[in-house]
Amino acid sequence: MSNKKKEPNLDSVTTINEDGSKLIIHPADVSGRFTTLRRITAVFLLIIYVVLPWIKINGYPAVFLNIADRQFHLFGITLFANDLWVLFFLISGMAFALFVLSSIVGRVWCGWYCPYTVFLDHVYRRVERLIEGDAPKRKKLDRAPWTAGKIVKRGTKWLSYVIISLILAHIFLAYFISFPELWQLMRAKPSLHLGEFYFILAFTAVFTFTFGWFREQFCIIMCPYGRFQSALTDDDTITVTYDNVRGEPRGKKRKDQIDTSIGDCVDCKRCVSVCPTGIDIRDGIQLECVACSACIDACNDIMVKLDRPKGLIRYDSRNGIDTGKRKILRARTYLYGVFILLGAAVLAFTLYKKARPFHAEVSRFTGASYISNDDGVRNIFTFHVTNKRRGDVTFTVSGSGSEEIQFSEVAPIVVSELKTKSFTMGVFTTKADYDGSKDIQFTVKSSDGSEMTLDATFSGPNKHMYKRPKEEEVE
Amino acid sequence: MENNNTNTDKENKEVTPIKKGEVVLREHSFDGIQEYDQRMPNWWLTILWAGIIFFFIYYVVYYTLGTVPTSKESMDARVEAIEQLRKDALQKTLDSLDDDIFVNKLSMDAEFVAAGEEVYMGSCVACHGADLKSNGGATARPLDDGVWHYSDKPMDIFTFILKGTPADSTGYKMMRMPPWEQLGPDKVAQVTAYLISKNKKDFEKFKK
Repeated sequence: MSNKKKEPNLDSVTTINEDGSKLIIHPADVSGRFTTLRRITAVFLLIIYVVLPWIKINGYPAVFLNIADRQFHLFGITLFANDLWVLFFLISGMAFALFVLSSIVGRVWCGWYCPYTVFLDHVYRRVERLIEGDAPKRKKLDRAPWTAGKIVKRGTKWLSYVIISLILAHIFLAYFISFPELWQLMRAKPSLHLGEFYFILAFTAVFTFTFGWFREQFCIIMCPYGRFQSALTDDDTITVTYDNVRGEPRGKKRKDQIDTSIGDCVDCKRCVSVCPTGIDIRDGIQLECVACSACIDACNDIMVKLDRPKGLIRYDSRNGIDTGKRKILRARTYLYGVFILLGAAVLAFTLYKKARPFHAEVSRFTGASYISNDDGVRNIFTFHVTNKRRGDVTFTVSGSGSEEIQFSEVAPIVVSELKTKSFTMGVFTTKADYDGSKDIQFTVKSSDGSEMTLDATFSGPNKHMYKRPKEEEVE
Repeated sequence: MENNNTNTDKENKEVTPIKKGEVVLREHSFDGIQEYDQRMPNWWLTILWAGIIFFFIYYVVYYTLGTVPTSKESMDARVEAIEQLRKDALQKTLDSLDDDIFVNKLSMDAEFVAAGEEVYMGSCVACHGADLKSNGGATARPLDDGVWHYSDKPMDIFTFILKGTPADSTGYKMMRMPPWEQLGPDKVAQVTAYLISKNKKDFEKFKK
């Protein structure tokens, strides 16, 4: 039934031949409950990927990673370069979420949600199926000599791949330059924006090569998520599993034959022929399995035809199959829960301390750190305030420290959206009141209610040297 | 580890079909550990070799032959181009300004003066005060008392703000005014026009 030179085994990767070349496999067609669910999920995700840079929230696209200007618009808020700490929580949060997900349901991200699978299985493979036909036809075409018909079929397929890759590359670019800018660049000469042009060329090539030829090799060899599966899954992880307790020993039998010495598996090898990564799920949970559930649907198909209960291959854990008990809540899961709470607490605290709709920083004005003479001691500070929101915002600055320290008046400053304004403020104390360097605080208030406190030091000369009368000794 | 049905027999060219579950191992064994007889994927080896060759070509082209400018060289060239643009912009502004234009045109332009006031309030207030009285003379020379210490010509005032007060002077209360060219020549011109507009009497002699 399958045209593989060797049968899948646990000691080698089916899709890598002995001589290093790639064995191109043609998964057979399959239909069933999980296939339908996957398709719906994929269409939903595709719409999201395409539409996200289009929807405007607060005047900017929902996702607009403007790297050129270092402004990152995400669902209505704008993050600047000094909000990099958000990235720490984002990345470590996502990584941790992936760990938790993997320990509970294995590689379910791969087969259902990963953009790679979404594009490969539900866009490129569909196009291939349309042009070249089902698995037997494609295998026949592989073996056939290069006739005009084969050239036309293959040519059309690869041309379609290139066109789809072009579209995907443009949408990908729109995440970084926004759609309005993309339309503009598409109408202008390439020489005016070579960087973006090369980006499109490079990513069209990458997508065509990856989704047209490389395919499952990424999931098996390159993707780090697949690699640390073996560290994260355990006997209670629920993933696509073959019920060997029920299925073994295998044997062919007819529909009405009742022979309890043979298991339910009839060795029809449908599960092998539909597998896109070329494994035999009956060998157990393997690294290559991306939980695409094709084998579940294929086997259920056969079981129904043989009047046997479905679920010979199903979503279950090793312990679930051996003992019938599925343990989702176990020591490990509780520990993950504790860590999630910890992480959430840290995030909440950091947000409270640092998240503001504006950014303000203070530094000493260039030049001497203080000015001192017989009138008193003066410090000059420079403020830089960035408005991270839409519309104009007015900021006021006030200082506080000890009573003797006076702060110069600063008129309210109006900053337009996403802009930064700088201004200066003087801090002064008379010679009589001067009592050495002091800690002071500046409070920057914005007209929308939020405020930020900045710490600074009012510095000056040594108190005793400064106040020493000119002709007399120090007492 | 037992190893049966291997077809690594070099004398016998016949290849025995590999059955499911069988593994092709190489003959040699290190401390009982054997190797699978499996090549790396060809695309992987190609990238590895291409990378090595590229490294040698890159090294020779960039660091030995010097045919392509290094990152430092191209960065220096860009910085120089920017400096040249800055100089040209400044020259252009200077060419369009003189005492006469300052007093008779720019300081009479309400919008220009308003822009200058905004610049003043942002950068000059700390030392010169919002009322131009410079905190009673404590922090800087007052700007509304009719005394222009270094020079009362508008172009000179423009230059002092741009480049700072003269290097050979002792300054005021032991400090010279620092340069403000980071604002850009346009903003400095606006501030100068603002100051003139606030001290109309002192610049009568330039009036037409």
